[in-house]
Amino acid sequence: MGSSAPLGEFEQLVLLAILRLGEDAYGVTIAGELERRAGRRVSRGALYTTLDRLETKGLLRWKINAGARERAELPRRTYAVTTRGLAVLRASRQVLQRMWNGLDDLLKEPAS
Amino acid sequence: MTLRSTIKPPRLATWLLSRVLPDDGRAANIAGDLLEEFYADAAHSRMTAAWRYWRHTLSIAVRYSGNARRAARERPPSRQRVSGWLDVMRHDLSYAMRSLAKAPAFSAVAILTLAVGIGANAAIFSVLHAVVLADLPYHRADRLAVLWTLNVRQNIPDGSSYLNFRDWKEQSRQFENMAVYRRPEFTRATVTGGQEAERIHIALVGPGFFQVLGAPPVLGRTFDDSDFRGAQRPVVISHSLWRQRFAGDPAVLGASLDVDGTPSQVVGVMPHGFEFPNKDVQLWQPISVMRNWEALQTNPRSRDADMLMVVGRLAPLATIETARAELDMIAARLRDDYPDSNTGSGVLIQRLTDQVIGSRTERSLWLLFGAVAFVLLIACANVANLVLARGAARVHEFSLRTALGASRTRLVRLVLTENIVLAVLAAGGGLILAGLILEILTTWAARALPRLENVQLDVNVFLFALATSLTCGLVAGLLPAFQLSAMNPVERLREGITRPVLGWRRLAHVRQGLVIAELALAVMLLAGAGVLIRSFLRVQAIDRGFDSQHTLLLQVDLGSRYDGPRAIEYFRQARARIQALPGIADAGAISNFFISRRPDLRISPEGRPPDAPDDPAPPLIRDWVVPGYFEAMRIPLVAGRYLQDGDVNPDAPDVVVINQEMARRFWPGEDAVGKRLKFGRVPTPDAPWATVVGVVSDMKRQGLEETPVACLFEPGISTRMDLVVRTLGDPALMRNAIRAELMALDPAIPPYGIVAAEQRLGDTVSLRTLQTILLAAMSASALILAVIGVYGIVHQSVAARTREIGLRMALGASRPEVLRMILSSALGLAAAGLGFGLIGALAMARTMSSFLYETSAVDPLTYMSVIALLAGVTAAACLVPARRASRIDPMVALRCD
Repeated sequence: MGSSAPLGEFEQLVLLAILRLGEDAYGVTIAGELERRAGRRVSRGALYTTLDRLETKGLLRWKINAGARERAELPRRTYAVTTRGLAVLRASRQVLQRMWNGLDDLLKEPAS
Repeated sequence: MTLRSTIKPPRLATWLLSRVLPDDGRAANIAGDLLEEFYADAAHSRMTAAWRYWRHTLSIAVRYSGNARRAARERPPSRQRVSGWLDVMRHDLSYAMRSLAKAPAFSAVAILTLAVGIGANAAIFSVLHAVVLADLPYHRADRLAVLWTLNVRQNIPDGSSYLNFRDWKEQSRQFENMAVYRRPEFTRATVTGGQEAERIHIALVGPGFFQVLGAPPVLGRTFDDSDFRGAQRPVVISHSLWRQRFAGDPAVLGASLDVDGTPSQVVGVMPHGFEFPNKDVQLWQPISVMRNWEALQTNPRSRDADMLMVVGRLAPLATIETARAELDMIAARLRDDYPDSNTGSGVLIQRLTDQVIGSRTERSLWLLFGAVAFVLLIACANVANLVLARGAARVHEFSLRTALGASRTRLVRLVLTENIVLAVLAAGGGLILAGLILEILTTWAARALPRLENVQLDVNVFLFALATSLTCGLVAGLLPAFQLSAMNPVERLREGITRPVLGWRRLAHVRQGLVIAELALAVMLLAGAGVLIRSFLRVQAIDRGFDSQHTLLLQVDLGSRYDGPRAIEYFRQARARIQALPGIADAGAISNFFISRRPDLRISPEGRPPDAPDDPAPPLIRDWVVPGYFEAMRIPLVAGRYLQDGDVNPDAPDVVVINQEMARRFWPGEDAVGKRLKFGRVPTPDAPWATVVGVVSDMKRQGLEETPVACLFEPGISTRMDLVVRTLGDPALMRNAIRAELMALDPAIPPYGIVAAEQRLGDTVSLRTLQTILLAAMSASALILAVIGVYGIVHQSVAARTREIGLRMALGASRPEVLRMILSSALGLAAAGLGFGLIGALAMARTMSSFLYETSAVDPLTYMSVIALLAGVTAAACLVPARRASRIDPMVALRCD
């Protein structure tokens, strides 16, 4: 990872969503996964610019698939996380875990 | 599949998307994703789908245009500096953006106000463009005309005979070409072949029909001369029939289609939008399929037939007037040559565009367009006022800029750029609004306006919106721009003057003038809408002469399947079957419920000499009626009795029932019951006497706004009848059950044209309804905008006069006095606006009166209401600032500077 800048929260969520979706990760499903799991409304402008940025950083790659009828034969990009992307994700999880260590009591879910 | 073929994402959004996305493959991917989501959403709700599509598009537009700007900044300076001029413009633009962003309330109100004005204008303009301004889809449609045989005495246009048409065509030099087609109201056919049977409108057209119209097919060919002679049955089909029945398959040519049981071959497909003689027509057949076509062409006695319509194309140098003059001469010659058939016949020539669009529709749309322009003017005045008010607060900023060396032109440009940015943003908002308005209008007004399906937000509308908004931006910005730039900076900075250049007094005058103009325009609109509403209410309250609620109408065409007594039996059984259904109150039948044509009929009452043949005969209508009809329609009986079952018997005495109008005309002041009369085209002495047995009230069945026509009802039937059914509940719910009963009675006679009487009558006033509602909506928005203007100016003047008011109160002025002072100045504005507005409304009265039904364009009640409304609303608008003025604490006011 070395030179790359740390991941933003949304970038992290997008990468995780892509990993979860596996083969089927493209714009519509990524947005759907984020909306379902992270429970947040995803601005398409933010999503696509983020995908572009992650690709420039070398954390993502994509391939073109032929378009289906339900999208008027327009091509579809499916995304996959590169090995470098995986490394960056791992690193940021480690950072988070280090920061969480020892705070479990303080921040544990209130028992209702 | 069907969903995708009918629903498209908002066109404007798709266009915007294609503009903002980088041209490198990302665009296609993103567009595809959005499309996929759109269709998935549209399966649930079209509104949600469109809304979400817009939201995604806008968020993408914002992000990607932002990226493009950043990329431009990062470019090396050599490429950035294309020219100094561009640089300055970019600087102005970014300055304007920042300065608008710094005053969000001002920007939002100004953009919203302008967007409302521009949106409404763009919507009405696109309707006007599609309905009135756009050419009909024929080659040089302005050169096409429709020719009618005119019944000169009654001034009624009617169809023509082939022989007369042939003489017109041979003798006319003003028409380059003419062709006939069968009157469309008589031509329907049952189409089978592949799918289930379907009853559609067809047109029977003569040789050269498609050539006269100059409309080539999209596929295959149209008819040539051999098609009118051979035993082959070629047909040309409409674009929609092609799509529906053949799924748009190009291999349709040569396919077979059963038309009324006769196998026919598809030879051509017409383009989308070709809808002649009307938009219901789905299929064209050579007119030679008519059984009596040979006879019509050769038999001299067929010269008085009236089943053909004629369309002609004017010769290159001819005008509609020269054509009229020439055909008048030809008609006069024919009257001399064929007195038996042509006495009293002339020719009426009408431009095709007038026939398709209708002059009333055209005038209505222009009126609405004028009204919506008023709304835009008011919006402009409001924005100019806002800009002026804001300018007054920016004197210091501009003084500083001038002192630092900004030239006067530069300052003017800064202010103008700001306004143009405002206007362009407003244009964007306006287009979105226009899209919404059109979405509603096209579904809701489809029955009131022809050609509405062509309405779209196209380049024309886009350019129109842009041009209007830029004009608005310039107009609203010029005065403030010059005001701000024409000042001596040094003096102002030194003295710390924050007065505007014109001075408060003159600035106030300008702003008051604007508000008065707004109020005046709003008053004109309110007065116009007011009289339209009154006239609309009058039309709604018209006594229909029968109970149109819960009445369903169905047409049946017995054709040649039943002759006299058996046809009567058919209707007897049909009536019995329908009446046996639950939820049915009564049923009857009449030959032509919605009077579609008026026969040339005369009557001669007993004891009076017959009319001379040349006397003008007022219109008279004869209908065949199956007993039970009057009861089913709840037509009040004025005198005598209704028709009874026995009256239909062939050996029964000849009896008729007439309406009040006829009784008034022929037996004024007398009891018409028991009187005898003869009738016919020219009643002959040996015609049998018919006795009047009953008088019923007049019915408004040809349209609510038409005057009643004398009617004569005879017991009997014709081959084509309108069944009228009175239901206990919603008539629409009964249509399938009734249809099923009739199909069970005879599957070869499917009922068609099924419609609720109230809906059909509503259709005759749908244009009026549309016009009234739209004008009312426009005047309401005009009023709101004008009142916002009043509020703004009063609010500002209270703020500016805080010191003065404080002083007055310190010197002993009471609160009610202050309140009265502020209110009276505002009401003075309202009075001036009202005065000018009323003058304007009176000037428009003549234009308005042509749209009114039994209502005066200067209706006093309406004018009083407008005055009261305006006074009330203005007072309410100034109450808040006026109360604030009266609460000013003199001490605080005097201490502050």
